[in-house]
Amino acid sequence: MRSPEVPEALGVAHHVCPRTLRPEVLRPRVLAHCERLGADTLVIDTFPEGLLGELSGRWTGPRRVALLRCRKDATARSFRAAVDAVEAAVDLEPHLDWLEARVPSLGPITRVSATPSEHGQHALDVLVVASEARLLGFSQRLEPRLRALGLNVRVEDGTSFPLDLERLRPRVLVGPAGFNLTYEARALGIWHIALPMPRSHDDQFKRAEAVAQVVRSPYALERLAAQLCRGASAPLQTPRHHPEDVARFILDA
Amino acid sequence: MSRCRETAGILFKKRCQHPSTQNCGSCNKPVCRVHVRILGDKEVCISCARASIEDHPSGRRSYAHLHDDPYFFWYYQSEIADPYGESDFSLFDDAGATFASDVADQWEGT
Ligand SMILES: [Zn+2]
Ligand SMILES: [Zn+2]
Repeated sequence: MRSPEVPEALGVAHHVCPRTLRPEVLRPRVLAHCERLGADTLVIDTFPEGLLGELSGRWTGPRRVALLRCRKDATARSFRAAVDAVEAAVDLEPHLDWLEARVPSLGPITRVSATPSEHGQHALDVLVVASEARLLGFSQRLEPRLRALGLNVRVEDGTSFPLDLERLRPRVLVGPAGFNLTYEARALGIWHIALPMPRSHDDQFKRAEAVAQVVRSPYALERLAAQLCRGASAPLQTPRHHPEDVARFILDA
Repeated sequence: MSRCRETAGILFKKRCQHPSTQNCGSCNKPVCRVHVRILGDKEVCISCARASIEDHPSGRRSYAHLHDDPYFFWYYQSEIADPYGESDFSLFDDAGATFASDVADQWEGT
């Protein structure tokens, strides 16, 4: 359920639904798709209650497996009830210690397949991900400052997403602390100086504190970026899973 | 006399080996002559001076005497003086539970 210009990804059809759709209208559609595909499992990302609440209430479809990522409303009764209601759930961010329900820990899933040791030289010192308007102006002021320190800098302005971090391979990434970017950087041994963005559900601040580097001013950011570029070390890896491993886990579970 | 407790280096953190000559006028830790700077009417350690400049970037002009100080290279290295504005600093605000929740989640992409 994302932008209409992506009708297919990973060889799987995407059904786009408008945010304004009522849950009681969406629910039979989800059930009909499950029926048509003969699905015995419905895998749910982040929202066990369904993105629009369409999965809550008495459920007659296939067993549900929820892949849970850190949410701000983790302690809300509605969320806890939704976690209890699904047949199975796993925690993709157990290291954030955010979930009250006792579900198996799985750890983050990332698309990247290479390990840091497979990477040779870093092609780039600093990649600034300015994926939203708030960050664009800042990145334009930051870029010349980092260049003046002799760093090789590139700014990505959100028009080329998803980012191919494996190809760009910066030493340091400056950008939001969304799930994918954060764990991909970590998986590739790239330092991540986080600029956590406010979200209604996703807690980027919590993730940034736990997994990335957090600074408290533009000057501190400049200083840290230069230090990390000049140092030889790479961040410790967070154990993470490739999507295929997770798919196998679910099928075998 | 105790040892200087400043760990701020020019580029990297390190332990200072000098004996202290005074206490920082802000955090009170013992510091040596190398690691003291005058800030307004106080003599403070490098860390406190840096923190003060970071917290009050608009007052940087009153710290002009630090302009060629290698310990403050980071704050003055660019020809672009005071490049950052309030909106830039707001990116670094610590966000509590009350933080803007009117922004829709975008799980994909980032
Ligand atoms: Zn001090
Ligand atoms: Zn000293």
